[in-house]
Amino acid sequence: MLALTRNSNSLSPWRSFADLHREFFNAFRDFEEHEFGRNYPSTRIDADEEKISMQTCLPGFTPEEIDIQYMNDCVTISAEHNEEKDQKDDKKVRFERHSGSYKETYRLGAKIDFDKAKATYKNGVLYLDLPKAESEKPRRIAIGK
Amino acid sequence: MNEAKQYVTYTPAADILESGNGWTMIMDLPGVPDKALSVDVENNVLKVSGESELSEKDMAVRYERSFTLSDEVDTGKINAKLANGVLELSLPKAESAQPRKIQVLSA
Repeated sequence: MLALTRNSNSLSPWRSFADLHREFFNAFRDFEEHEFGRNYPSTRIDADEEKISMQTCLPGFTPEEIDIQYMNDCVTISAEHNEEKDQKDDKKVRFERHSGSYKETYRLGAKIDFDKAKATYKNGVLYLDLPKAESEKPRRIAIGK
Repeated sequence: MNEAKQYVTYTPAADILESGNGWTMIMDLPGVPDKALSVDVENNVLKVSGESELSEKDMAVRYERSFTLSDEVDTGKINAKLANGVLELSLPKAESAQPRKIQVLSA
């Protein structure tokens, strides 16, 4: 069938509607099969004695659009676009990206000193640096002589 | 000893929009700074790759995706903009692919 379409394409200067349709999608033919779901790393949480570090990919937001809350040992990250980007009458040829809002709660498993918590947003990634509360840090007991 | 850097490679999600004079391709590349992004066109193949500042399981994270472009794209005029981990490529249509109005002459 493909050969037939090609033939009709080369033989006739008049391209059929079907040909146009095919070309429209071929303009951006994918190289390999695209796997949905895992397009960038998922949230990473690392903990040591002193602090908990988190990395969350939030591409396309601004720092003003990201909200971070801490309650009951849980941290909730939410992000929402302030304004819908007007795409005028642009036609969507391919539509894979997640473009809505984001909200996720993570149980930290330890109390943190929220006043000393730091958040940085860089190149579409949110980095959280959450120092553990003093009560969570291990204390060493000296052996008496 | 093998000192080659280990990578985990992701295929970034892409949106493509078409307007009268070209296409806009939008791709999520979180963690990629300007200097670690590369956009190349060779033999009508558009290749986007970027190394992220993130790591996963002790491996560096990178993104890679290629598209075959049709002759309708003016490959010499492709523009790239990276902001907040989102790459926006503008791919103008070649002059020959743009709609042209045919003037009707009165007899």
